[in-house]
Amino acid sequence: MAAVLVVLGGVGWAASTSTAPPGTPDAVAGVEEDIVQDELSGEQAQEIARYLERINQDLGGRLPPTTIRDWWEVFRGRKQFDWGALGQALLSYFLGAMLVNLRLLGQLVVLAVIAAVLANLQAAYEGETVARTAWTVAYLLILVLGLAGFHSAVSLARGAITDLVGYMLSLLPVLAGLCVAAGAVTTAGILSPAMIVAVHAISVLVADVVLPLVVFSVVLDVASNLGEAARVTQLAELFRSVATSTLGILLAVFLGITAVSGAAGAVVDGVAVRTAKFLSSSFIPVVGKMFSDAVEVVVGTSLLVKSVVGVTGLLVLVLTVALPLLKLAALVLVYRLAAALVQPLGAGMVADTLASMGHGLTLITLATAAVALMFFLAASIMLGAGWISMAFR
Amino acid sequence: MTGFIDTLAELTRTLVTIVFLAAVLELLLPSAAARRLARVVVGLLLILTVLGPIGKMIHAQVWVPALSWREQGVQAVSGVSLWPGAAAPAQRDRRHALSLFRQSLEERAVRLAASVPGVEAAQATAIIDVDEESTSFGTLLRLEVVIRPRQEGETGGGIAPGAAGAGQAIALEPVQIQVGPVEMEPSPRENPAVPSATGTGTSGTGTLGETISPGLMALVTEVRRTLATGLGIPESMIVVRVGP
Repeated sequence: MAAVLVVLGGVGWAASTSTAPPGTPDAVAGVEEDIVQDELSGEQAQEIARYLERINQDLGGRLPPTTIRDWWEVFRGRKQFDWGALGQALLSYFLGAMLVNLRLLGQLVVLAVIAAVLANLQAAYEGETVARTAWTVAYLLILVLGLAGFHSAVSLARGAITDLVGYMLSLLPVLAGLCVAAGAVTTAGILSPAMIVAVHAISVLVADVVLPLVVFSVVLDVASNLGEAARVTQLAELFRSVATSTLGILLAVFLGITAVSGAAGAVVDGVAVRTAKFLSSSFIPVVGKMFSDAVEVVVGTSLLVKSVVGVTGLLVLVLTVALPLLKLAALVLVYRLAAALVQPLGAGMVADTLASMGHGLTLITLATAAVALMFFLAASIMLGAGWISMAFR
Repeated sequence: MTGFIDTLAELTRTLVTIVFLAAVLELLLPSAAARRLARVVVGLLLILTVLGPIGKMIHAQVWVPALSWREQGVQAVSGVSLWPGAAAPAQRDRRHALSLFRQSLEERAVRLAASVPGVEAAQATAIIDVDEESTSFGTLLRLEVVIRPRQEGETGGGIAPGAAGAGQAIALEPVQIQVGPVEMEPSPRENPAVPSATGTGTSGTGTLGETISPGLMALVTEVRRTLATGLGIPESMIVVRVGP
């Protein structure tokens, strides 16, 4: 009943703001324009636009449509979006991150060369202990450098997750509002709280459990390479397994919750809008049929706006996480490259250490990407919820 | 969850320290034999370090289920505990909780009894079922309160109710008082030497075989009523005695 009233109220409001004679294409366009104007000028929609603007700045201004209104024009075919330029911007961002990390790569390789020379001296001369001590010092320097880079990568991943959560908390109310405008009141009521809880839970678990476990595993791996006296590589492997398993379980649970919640309200919403149409056409004399058609226009246009905002929101979500992921990928590449370069020198332990750090960084990158994937799917489910209820009527 | 990760962080820190020290030790030790021995020792140390927090975590997680197992009497096989020894921390905690409950109850009873006009000091003892195998474990069976009435004519010498120091427990010698039906003759209320009579035949009391005055009787009744109201327990569970 509440849903029916909401839909009827929305139609009444839309009809009252349109000035053209009812039933004409101009009137429909007017209603459409009113709805678009209203939905896109909200504070939360502007919040999405601010994220878009920030990404545009990070990409050096290569993301031409920087407002949702521009994206609306793109979706209506009135403007063109240069996907090639976006691809180039992302590529140059990645190469920029690589250039920044090349210094680290150089330092690691030089130190690894020194360590390899010391290791060979150790084998060639009688004074084994002195050479070994020197090698250990060089190895510790490599560790310090490597772990500093690793620490910055973990901070980057944490920052990315925090950004994602902040962005999701801006996007979800907008999508929920548009769901209501499209007549999917029950869906919005069910999905919105479930999503907010799930988003927070996932981000906390990944940031406070998965990432620390990966860090512990890398630290233990690295420490194990210090000498033959004590090795804890299996414990490191255990931590790594727990981290990946936790991530998998989280992904499954999150998708389960969102998918079930998304489907639950669709039928109720479909029936509600259908009832609203029936009531308006049957019980309102003379203009009832016109009113019923207006329901279709309002709901359809709201769905269209929702699609534009939703797709723009998804794109912003992807770009929000893409930039830190590109930085992380550049770091992974640097560590892997360093390990590959060092191995032929005969410094097996150093190569193993660098490879282990690269592996840990890959896991961190994957964890961040998994969070983004979960949020992406959650937003997609919310975006599709209105269409499901539309299909029911 | 944070505690779990903190434990792991602490474990990792300790392990890295040990591994680092082991590497240094390996450099310092002169002979291969000594190095081999050091490896064994360090290995044992590592095992102990890893097992320590695991043991702690197991204890921490078993602690809560152990309570419910004990409460519900759940056993894998009749007479066999699911995890022998797992209930020990729970038992310890139950005893501690019981002791706190007893202490709190007694303090409240003393405070309430001392707040009754005419009572100079009081001492309370809570009789609680302490049999851990019993289903009524922790149940209050009886509350025994010994009061010392204010002497006649003494108005400002004792601790006034509500004043600083009121309600503090004062060591009193408990006095056994016979509680039971007493046949009594009606007597003038103004004569304190004559045994009091309530007419119900259930509440005649006296100190060391002596008879008590109706005023004292009224005081005892008042203390009992105050305690029952204040603590929310039936009057039948409260025994009030008059001490010297």
